Amino acid sequence: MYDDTLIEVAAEADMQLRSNLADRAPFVARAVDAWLVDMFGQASLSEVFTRSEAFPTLLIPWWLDGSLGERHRRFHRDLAYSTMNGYLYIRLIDNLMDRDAPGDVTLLPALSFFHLEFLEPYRRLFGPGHRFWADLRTIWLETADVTLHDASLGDVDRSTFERVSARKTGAAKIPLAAVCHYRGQLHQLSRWNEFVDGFGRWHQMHNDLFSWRKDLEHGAATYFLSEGRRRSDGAIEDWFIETGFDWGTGQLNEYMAELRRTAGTLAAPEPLEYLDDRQQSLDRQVAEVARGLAVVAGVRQAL
Amino acid sequence: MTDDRNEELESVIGKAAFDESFAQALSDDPAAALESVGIEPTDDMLEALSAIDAESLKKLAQAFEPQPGIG
Repeated sequence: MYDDTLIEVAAEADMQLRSNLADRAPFVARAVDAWLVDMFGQASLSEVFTRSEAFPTLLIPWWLDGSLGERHRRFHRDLAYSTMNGYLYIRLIDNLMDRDAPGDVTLLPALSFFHLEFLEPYRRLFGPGHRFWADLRTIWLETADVTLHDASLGDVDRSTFERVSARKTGAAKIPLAAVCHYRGQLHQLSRWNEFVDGFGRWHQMHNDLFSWRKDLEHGAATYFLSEGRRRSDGAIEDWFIETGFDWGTGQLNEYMAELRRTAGTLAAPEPLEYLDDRQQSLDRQVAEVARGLAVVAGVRQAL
Repeated sequence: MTDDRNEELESVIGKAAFDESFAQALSDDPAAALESVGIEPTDDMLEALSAIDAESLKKLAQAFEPQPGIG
């Protein structure tokens, strides 16, 4: 999925982030290090970003740029550096809003570093009056808006899921806007943005389906759990075992079919190849769960 | 089946599906596992549970454990 150059670029961006943070705010750096270990164990940020199951936030601009010409390594290191800082900014706020995830309010000063460094590469690439900034403002504030909206939801139907919950990953459009402005190819942007939106739906549904136990335990309102409550009059666990998992995989398949149609309109082969890999991986997960559910059915019959 | 019995049964099914250690116990010693959740095992039950596929049950529970990552 990730070619060697992109993995190297991600590692360089990760090292740059750690080094800049340690130089400029050493106290914050120690707190952030501990927070990252809490979240990811010993895995580096670049490893976490390039895992096969991660949202492909570094890959999509890599594919887009590769479809427009020869990639410039320095440019992609800048994008990755910005993306990692932007991600940590959003993740820290998310974790504090969730209250059950790693991180506490003493980490809040780290947001200053993450936000400055998220913007820094773009400041160097685009002047103050550049149209890129209007795109960034729109995407960044929309992401903030849907994040707060999502956190306020008590029940999520399909329409709300698609308009709100599935758009929390919308900040992934920022490096795409950067690529299009950098290359002077703005007409490419809307189709790639559509791909991000489509992937966001599939990715969020995947999270809802495979994290439903944690979401239930923490009282999180998700489309999957809301639908479970609508469709069953008993415990969510029973609904999940009987029909819920099949319902969830059916939703995932619908979103994947839509996503493949969108990917087919892009002038790059990698998105479809990537979706093939993700689908195969999901098929293996689903088969494993189906084997387990068959055993559960056997236990039920035995009792 | 009474409501109480139904509730008890669903609770055991839920544990079998999503609690790895209970899945293993159900495979290792079905009688003790059932007794631990208040079910008096019968010979028929124990026979039906004798060849339970604990690995598949454990993998089922693991599939829904939180995974660290960038989300």
